[in-house]
Amino acid sequence: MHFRFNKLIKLGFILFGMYFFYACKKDNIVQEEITPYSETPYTLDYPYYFPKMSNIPLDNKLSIERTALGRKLYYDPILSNNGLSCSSCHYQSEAFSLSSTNALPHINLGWNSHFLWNGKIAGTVEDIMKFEVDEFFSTDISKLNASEEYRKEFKKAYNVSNISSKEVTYALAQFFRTLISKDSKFDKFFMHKTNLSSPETKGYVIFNTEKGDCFHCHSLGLFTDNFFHNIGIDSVFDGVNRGRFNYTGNAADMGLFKTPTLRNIEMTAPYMHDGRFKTLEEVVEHYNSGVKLSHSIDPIMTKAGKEFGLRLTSEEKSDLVAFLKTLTDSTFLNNPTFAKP
Amino acid sequence: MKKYILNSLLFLVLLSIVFLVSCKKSKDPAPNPFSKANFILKTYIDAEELTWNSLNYFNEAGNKYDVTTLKFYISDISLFNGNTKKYTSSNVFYIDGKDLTKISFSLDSIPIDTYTKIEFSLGLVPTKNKSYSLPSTLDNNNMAWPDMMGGGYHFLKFEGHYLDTASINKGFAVHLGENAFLPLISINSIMNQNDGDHSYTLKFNLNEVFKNPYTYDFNYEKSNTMSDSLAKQLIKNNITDAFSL
Repeated sequence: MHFRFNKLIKLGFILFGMYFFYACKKDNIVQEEITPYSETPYTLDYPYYFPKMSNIPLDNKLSIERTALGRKLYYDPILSNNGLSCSSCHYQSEAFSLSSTNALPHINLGWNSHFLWNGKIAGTVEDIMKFEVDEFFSTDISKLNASEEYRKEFKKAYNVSNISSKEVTYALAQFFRTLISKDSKFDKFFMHKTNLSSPETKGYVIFNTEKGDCFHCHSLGLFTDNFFHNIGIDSVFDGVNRGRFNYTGNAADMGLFKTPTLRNIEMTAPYMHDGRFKTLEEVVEHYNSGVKLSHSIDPIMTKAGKEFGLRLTSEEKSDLVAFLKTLTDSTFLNNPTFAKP
Repeated sequence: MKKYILNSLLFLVLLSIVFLVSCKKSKDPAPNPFSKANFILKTYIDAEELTWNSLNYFNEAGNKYDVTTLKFYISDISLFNGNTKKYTSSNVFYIDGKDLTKISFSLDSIPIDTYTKIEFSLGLVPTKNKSYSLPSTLDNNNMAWPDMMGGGYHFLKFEGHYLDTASINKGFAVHLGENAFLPLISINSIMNQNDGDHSYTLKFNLNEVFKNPYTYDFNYEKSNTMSDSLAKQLIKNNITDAFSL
């Protein structure tokens, strides 16, 4: 009888243990359900005169969860080891650039195939983000893995339990693709929703004809051709002024730099790769009278009769600047969905 | 009963033979009445294959020049047998001579035949030469011809440097666009498409752009053609014999 009683007690303990075991297991399942993998499609919105954004990797399809995660990372100094985040040098109010550092603006980069002034990173936004995460920030991924919040969010966005640098770069790339500037006064004019003023219209004609010849490199839409050009700011090259040559070693690339977008150009002073021009007026004056010849200068810059500049009048220069300012996109600059979450 | 079984067996044997023959036939299909022609562009300065950015070439007028950019469209391709047009493609092909991924194109569903002539427009036929009529790609957008200058697309961008009479390095930009300046290229060449797919080299001799019939001299003609109708007409006339197969 005593033996049987002991047996019953043991059996009770076993059943109790099994109950706890399953209860715990159930808890785990519940926890998994809090952060299920979720892929809510995110559709980019841009006008017909923008190229189709066709370089999105198949394994990084846009989703609301991923873009939200990228946005959070953009503003989080957890990416760096010195307290800085992407947003430390890229202010939304300055079109995601920063005047004091002459940082390149983060505008419409989803269409780019080469990144940085000399284009040393080629590929997709994922590739430049890989450079930023692995090399520029040297991100300590273990810090992200130590964060329960990030673990949950990466699980939700990428269905991974262990975060790697790949998911970090992919999430950042997603946010960058959403940073689309398309609502400037020029866009409203192009969509027949508003008119340009007289000086702006004259400036548009200068920009878009042989008189100013800006359109050949700053193609309408993105206002960049995504190619490299030597626009005659130097005739003797050294250091960073050698531009793409520093990456390719090809003499024909001496002094060539990536064509920057002109969207929000009013907000992204100073100008050129080294910030040598402080105002748009100085930039226009360069094209007007300051072009320096060299063997690699872009042929468009030295056409007959305009070998040393456009030779615009003061009024024409002013009109051109007025047009450039129509590319300021206040919707982009103030879009709350781009701001710190 | 025995006869019935024998008849059934005979029927099955015949049926098997029919199936066997029909299967054999399916393994030997009728010859494909169509073929494919693959083209790859090679760019020359007379007999020499082009080296980019090399200021070592001379045109007919004696201008020393180099080439930095060569981009163009090919459209409205037709194949002829004698004087009879046998095949037309409605496709538009964008060529960037400097980008190895953009120097080739293919024509599909060409009827098996021997062709003696190929014709194409260097640029876009008028129905396609309208702003934003081509798929919105970065290349197409970069080839746009501004609306206020007529709209549509550049047919050709051919750029480089030359030394002027004082040996100063200047730029040239031979740009064609606008329907009135659309060159028609006609090449007499045998294309044997009788026995399947074939590949061809489309040769573009850039020196022919500057001669025949007009000797184009950068020192006296416009080195940038875009806003000059006479210059565009001269280049249009010259370029018609710049291609060979």
